[in-house]
Amino acid sequence: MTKICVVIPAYNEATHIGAVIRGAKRFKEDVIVVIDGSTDETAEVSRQAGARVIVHAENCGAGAATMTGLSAARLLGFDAVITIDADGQHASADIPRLIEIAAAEKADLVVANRFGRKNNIPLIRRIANAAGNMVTFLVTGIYLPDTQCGFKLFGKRALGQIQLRMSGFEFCTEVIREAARYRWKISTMPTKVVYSEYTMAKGQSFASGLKTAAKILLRTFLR
Amino acid sequence: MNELQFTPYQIVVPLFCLLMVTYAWNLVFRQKKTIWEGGLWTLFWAAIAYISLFPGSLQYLSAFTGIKKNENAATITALGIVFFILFYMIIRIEELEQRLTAIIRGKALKDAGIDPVKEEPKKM
Repeated sequence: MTKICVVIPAYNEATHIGAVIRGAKRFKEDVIVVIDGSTDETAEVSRQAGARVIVHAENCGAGAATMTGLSAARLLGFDAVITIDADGQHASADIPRLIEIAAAEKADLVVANRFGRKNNIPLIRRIANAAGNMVTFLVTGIYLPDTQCGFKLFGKRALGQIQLRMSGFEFCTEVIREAARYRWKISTMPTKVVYSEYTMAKGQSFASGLKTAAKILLRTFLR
Repeated sequence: MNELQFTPYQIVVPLFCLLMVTYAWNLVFRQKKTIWEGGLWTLFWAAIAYISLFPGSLQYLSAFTGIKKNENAATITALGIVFFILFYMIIRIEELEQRLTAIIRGKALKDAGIDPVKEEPKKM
């Protein structure tokens, strides 16, 4: 039987992390939360909600926190990992479907697609995602409808091979680059997403999106 | 019949480009670059080799950019060098950041009772 855990990278998410952990625990008992240098009560709330907590002493970025979670899962003997955002924008009810798709399509990586079903997504986010998809296509040659989504499943092969080097939000593109490098089979799954003022404030701004794109291009062509 | 005559520059640069393309594809075969990146680098070095073999092709660039005088070309070259130094410094800072992140990540795993020394990506 495949051992699967949920990894949640979190930075100052004390108000939402409890609900996200409880939602994930309805489907998977093992939840790892990587506290990325939070200055609020995220760690305490996560422990109370029953998650295994790993703490970064300093804020390193979403990519570094995700990689710490993946490393932990690998070292703890899990076969697959589901990553989910800590701000509550993803529907944990989609976790079983994510696992079903991975099994049915023998996928190494399943990426949730927020644009695959009717969701109320702000225009600025749609533009930012389209730009992210284009940059990802430019550096990897792979086009996916939603490369920047944090809701993913890493299968056994992907979990064993992945090695993320980018620390910030640019890790989403690096995941696809790793998929191209190791020729993983990628599947997508339409998912529900909830955008609130909170999630909009927590996500990438236009300026940080530009910085992310510049970093990806720079790293790709000067590697 | 016109005889092809190459300057040493026209021999050395395409050979260097060939070497760089070989190096890029070597990285692809060692799975350090993707096929896509290998293709992009091949295009880049092929363009450099083409310009060295056919310097006249730069006349199109000159007409397009408006760089006609030597002084302008020198300014553009200097800007290129400055940008390269800037990129190099950014890459160095990024590398330092990565090393710092690796230390923080390792310590976090250790503090959580997970031994990061055992970790090594699997060849599959």
